[in-house]
Amino acid sequence: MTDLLEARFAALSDPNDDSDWLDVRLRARRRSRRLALPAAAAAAAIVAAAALGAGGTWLFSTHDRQVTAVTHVTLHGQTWRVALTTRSGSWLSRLCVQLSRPDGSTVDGGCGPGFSRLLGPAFGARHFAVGGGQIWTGATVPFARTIAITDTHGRVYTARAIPAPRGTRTPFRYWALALESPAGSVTVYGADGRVIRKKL
Amino acid sequence: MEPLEQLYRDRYVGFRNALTPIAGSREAARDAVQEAFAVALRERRTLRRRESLAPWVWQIAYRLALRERLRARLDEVPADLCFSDPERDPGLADAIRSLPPRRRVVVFLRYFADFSYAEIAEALGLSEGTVAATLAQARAALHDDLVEAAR
Repeated sequence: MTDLLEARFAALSDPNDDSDWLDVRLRARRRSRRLALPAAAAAAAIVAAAALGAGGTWLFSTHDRQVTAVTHVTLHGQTWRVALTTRSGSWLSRLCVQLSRPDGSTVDGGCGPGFSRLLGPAFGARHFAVGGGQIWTGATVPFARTIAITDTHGRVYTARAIPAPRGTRTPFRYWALALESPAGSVTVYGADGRVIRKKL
Repeated sequence: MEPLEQLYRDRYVGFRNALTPIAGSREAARDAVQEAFAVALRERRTLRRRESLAPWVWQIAYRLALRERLRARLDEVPADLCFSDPERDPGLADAIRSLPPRRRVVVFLRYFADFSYAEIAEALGLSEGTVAATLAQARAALHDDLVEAAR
């Protein structure tokens, strides 16, 4: 009977091996960063050079004043492509977001309303609900350096606000983050570690 | 290759398959296994004995999977716990459902994750004798149900 049970369980087993040790190592590293952050945030002294957060490598392309910044974020082991397009007009600027699923299909995030180049946006944040978590991205004011998002479980995620390469005609910095659960608050820090704006 | 990576390469599929009924889906189980090994990688210095590695990682993965499924009550085994694709073997699925939920976990660890009695004992905080007795009872019950269903 034991052998029969083994055979029946074996028939039910999924033999597909989708293991990914690199993903485990990345998760371990990301978790360390996440745990290291609350103390720094409490002291309001986040150092921009700490290189914390997600949205690792950014690729910029530009056409006149229109800049497209592309990065990838990982959520629950799946990698999503985030493309931010900003158009800096003389008076008004505009931010558009495009999110692509792991299978390559696109979630069209659309464009936000126009905003004054001088006044904003602090975060430029837009977000998408994805598989129980959220993907956040945005284009910030030029003096923003770090975005910190606290999720509903109290976990803190950070991302550096990345400037476009020199010579690119955009005043903005770009960022993206993947959260395992919905955001509770979003805070943007300047280069001196002070809070520029906090949104609950 | 360090022991944890070796364990991952040897046992990933078994861990995922055993966790699938507990997490509620294959994807959630995969996520729990990945996250558990990530936690283990970070905390591995706190582990003293190498032979405890598999049960230790299982405990982490199991809690993560339960947390994902139940959110609130972390220690409660889901009452409807069964393998994820019951229509593939309805007779066995019915027989599994007739077992007490915690006994089902022992069965999944034995047959899906290929855990030894000692590993099951350590993972679930039981004695090896209790594991042996639990498995014997589970096998007998499954046998009776399967024979009954075949008539």
